[in-house]
Order: sequence, then structure tokens, then C-alpha cells
Amino acid sequence: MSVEIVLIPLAIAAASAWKASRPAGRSGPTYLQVATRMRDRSLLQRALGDVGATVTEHDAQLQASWDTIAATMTQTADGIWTAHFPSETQEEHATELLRDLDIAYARRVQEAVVARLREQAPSAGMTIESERIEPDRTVTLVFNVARGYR
Amino acid sequence: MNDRQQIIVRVAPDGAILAETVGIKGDSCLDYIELLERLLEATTVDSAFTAEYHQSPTVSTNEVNRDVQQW
Repeated sequence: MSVEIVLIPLAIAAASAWKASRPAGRSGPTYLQVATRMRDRSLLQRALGDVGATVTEHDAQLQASWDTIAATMTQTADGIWTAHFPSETQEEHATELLRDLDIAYARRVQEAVVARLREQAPSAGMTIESERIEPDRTVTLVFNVARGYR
Repeated sequence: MNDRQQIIVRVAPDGAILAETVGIKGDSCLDYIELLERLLEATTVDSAFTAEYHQSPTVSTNEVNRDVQQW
């Protein structure tokens, strides 16, 4: 070994996941807001489907509906998605939903990263020697590198 | 002696990626940080050199000739 690198996909913000708050309006809290670490719209849409939501698009927003609850997803100026629930929503319920969504989103990111790696590696002189899925669902890919690649 | 050059990439279900170079000695391993960031559409948040980094790259005459022909 010569160097080890830890990377975070751009689709995931470095911020910690699901932080709930109730922004106060003039007449009290208007809605329950939960910050996420998700950045990628298409991966978010797929993850919402994975956790059983029906998703409709409204311009820059996504409306996610479950049987008993709905949320509006909007993106902050720095590209991170935030979920907005009606003010009467229990914080525990919302954070539980967002926790499940975060797990589903991360798996979608994993899929996307592995797919991109398989697709792009040959152009960088890397050929796959092996690929396996570990018991913890980590995907390990071993690439042979063309000598002299820069 | 196994002189293959390899990159091992582990993509965790939480989205985190751990990559390591194997058999790539000296500064040339650093070239792969930028390459991996581009390939993975990711940002490096931590890195560490391992013992092999401090070894000098050894290139045989045959390898030099092959590289010249290839490039």
C-alpha cells in the first residue's frame, strides 16, 4: 500500500443528517423542517420511492406523500435538500421517516458510485480484477492499473 | 515479487468510499487522488500514507523500454 484515501461522494453533504427544527412565524411555528445531507435530485426521487413515498414534482420542489403524512422537499442555496412537514407533525415521526430515507438514499449513492466506477475506470487505464459484496454490504472493487498512467 | 499496481475501492452502504493504492510507490500514488475524485465524483476528506509511499519506485530497463514504446 502507498496511500489510503477516504472520500465522500458529492451527492452527500458533509453536514450531519436529519436535524429537525420548527421555524417560528408571527403566530408560532408554521411547519416542521428537517435538514438532510442529500444533494442529488434524481437519487432522492428514487430513494423516496424506496421508502414507499409517492413523488410529484413542482418546479424546484418535490412533494412526497405517504399514507398518513406528506412532506415538501426543497433545496437550500448550497444544494442540500430539506424536508418540510405540516406543523402538527410529530418530530419523532418525521425524523424516523428521514432516517429511513437517508439509509435508502445512501444505498442509491452506493449504487451510483459503483456504476460510475465500472463505466469510467477503463478510460483511466483501470481494469477490474475482482468485485465482491461484503457481509456488511460494502462493495469492494479491485482494479489493475496500467503502468505509466498519469 | 508481486509488482502489480492496483487500486482497491470499497464503497460502503452509507456512501463513504475508502480507496487504497497497492504497489504504487513514491509520489506517483498521489496522482491517483485527483483521478479517484474525478472518477467517483467525490471529495477527499482524509488520507494517509502507508509504508510503501516511502519506498523509491523501482523501474527495470525492460519496463522503461515498454513505457517508451507505449507512450
